[in-house]
Amino acid sequence: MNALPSSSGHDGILAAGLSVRGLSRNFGGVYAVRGVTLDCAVGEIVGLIGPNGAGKSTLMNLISGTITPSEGQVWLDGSAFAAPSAVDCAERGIGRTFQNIRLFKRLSVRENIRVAAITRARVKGGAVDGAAVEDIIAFAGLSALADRPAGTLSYGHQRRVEIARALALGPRILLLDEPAAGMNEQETEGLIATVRGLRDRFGCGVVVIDHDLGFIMQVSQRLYVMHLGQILVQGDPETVRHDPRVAEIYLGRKK
Amino acid sequence: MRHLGRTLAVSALPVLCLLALAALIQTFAEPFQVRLAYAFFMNLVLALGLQVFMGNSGVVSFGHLGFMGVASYAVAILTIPVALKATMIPDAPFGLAGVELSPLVAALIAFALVLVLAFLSGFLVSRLSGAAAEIFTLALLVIAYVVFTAWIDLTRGQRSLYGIPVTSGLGFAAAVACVSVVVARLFRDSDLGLQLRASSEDTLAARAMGVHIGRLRHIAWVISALIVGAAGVLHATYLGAIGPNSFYFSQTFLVMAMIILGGMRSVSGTILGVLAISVGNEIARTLESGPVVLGVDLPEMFGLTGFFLGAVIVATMIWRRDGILGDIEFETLFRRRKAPSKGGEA
Repeated sequence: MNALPSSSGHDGILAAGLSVRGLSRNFGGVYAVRGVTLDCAVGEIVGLIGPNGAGKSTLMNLISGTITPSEGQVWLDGSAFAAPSAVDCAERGIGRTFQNIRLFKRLSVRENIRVAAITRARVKGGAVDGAAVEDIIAFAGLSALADRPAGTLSYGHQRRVEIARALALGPRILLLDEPAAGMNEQETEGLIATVRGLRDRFGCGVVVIDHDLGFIMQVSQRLYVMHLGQILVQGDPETVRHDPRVAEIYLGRKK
Repeated sequence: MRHLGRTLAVSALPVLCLLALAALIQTFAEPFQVRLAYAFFMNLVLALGLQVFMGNSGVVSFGHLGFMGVASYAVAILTIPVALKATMIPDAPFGLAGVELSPLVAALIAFALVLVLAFLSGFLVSRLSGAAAEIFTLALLVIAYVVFTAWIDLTRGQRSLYGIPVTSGLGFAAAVACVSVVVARLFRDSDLGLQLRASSEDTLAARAMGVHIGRLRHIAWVISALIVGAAGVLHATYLGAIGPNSFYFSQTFLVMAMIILGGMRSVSGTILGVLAISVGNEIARTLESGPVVLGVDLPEMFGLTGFFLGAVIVATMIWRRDGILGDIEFETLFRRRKAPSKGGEA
């Protein structure tokens, strides 16, 4: 793959963070994801971009155990997942949101977040940390809405509940699947602040997916560009912005 | 402990109402009304049992009446006097024809039997999902019925087993119902109950939040089967005679109508549904026989009660899919008076 001289550990599996090595998933003869290698250290914000159909969401589903890879491995904090299931991944510290919001609509905002906090308490051994739940609610700016059924919230607030719910797992790595979708410019600004804030406050690594360059260029420290199931380019935002191949896949093939 | 305290506090209102109802009826009502009230409390226990599984997991179960039957038959066979068994089921297997136990011991054995059967069948229920799980529960009901009717040496088949010592009364039934209310609330409000309710809304998201859906369903299945088993014990020890048809489709639909109408997602909705259907059913039964109402001699209308249950299910499905109370428990009704009215909801 394209070995680029930048940031953290390359061949080595990260001791604190997520490492993906040679991950593939084929459906019959079609590879949705092929030989992907990716790292996200704890404390880092990594962007994953690519046009629609590039395989970003499939990659996210592979990392979070929602679908099983055909080849390759996911490592978290230096140890590999043998046969990861979504539940294993959640228990070991991979939190995620969904591209099309999947809240527990009839449960209250607080209950939504509690569902994840219960898992965390079970893994750590002990009772649910109610104060931590309230802390996350406050961080996400949802205090006034905490008792409302999640399904009755506005779109923007529902997105925040999704992030808050994933945070309640106490994740090492947080996967955000198109968090800025459907947001206006002002809301996107707020989201950027939120993503940076949660990294600093909760000390996790963040992988952000989007097909919109603007948002992801601003929020990410490092970027992976995906095309046709493979990582085409990686590097810091400036490098990626000026890479001709990125313009090519976004704007069409140069003759 | 805080959880237990809170559940007891929020259960206090329905529990006190139920106990007051039982006391009033026991003191003032006619014997036939006491019998109706007893049936109400028994159906309440049955409905609460179903609520624990269906209301939290979102999986419909048609099979629970089988557990009720198992408990009823177990108590019957273990408590009927040996002399009577010599005429009814002289060839009972396992030497049961010569066994005569106290109702308490018999009830404990019945619970143990239900526990084992529910634990084993729970492995299958928790592995299936959606329609497959629901069809499986239907198959369980049919299997149970076939065993009750075909294992003639043990159950006397279609003919009823009688002579069960009548040891239960209205007060006991009310007490069992109150315990069931508290157990159902404890489970619903517990961490396990919350995660299970989450899984009923979105299995994919629940897994991504670390919810072991199968395990939780299994636990709910066993708890609900035990509560339903308690209804079976109430049934046998009050009527003194049981037959297989009490544990089949008609009773299943009765209890389904109850929890659908009231709202199976909340314990309070279940209580309300049992009350509403019990009253409505009694009115329908009276009308069925063609009484004279306000000087008008009504015609006999056979099957009105069955029609009534069907109509209630259909109407609820059309206008209020989540039942009268939906997700709401009684205490929320009082706390949030200002909450927007749910009446106009589509």
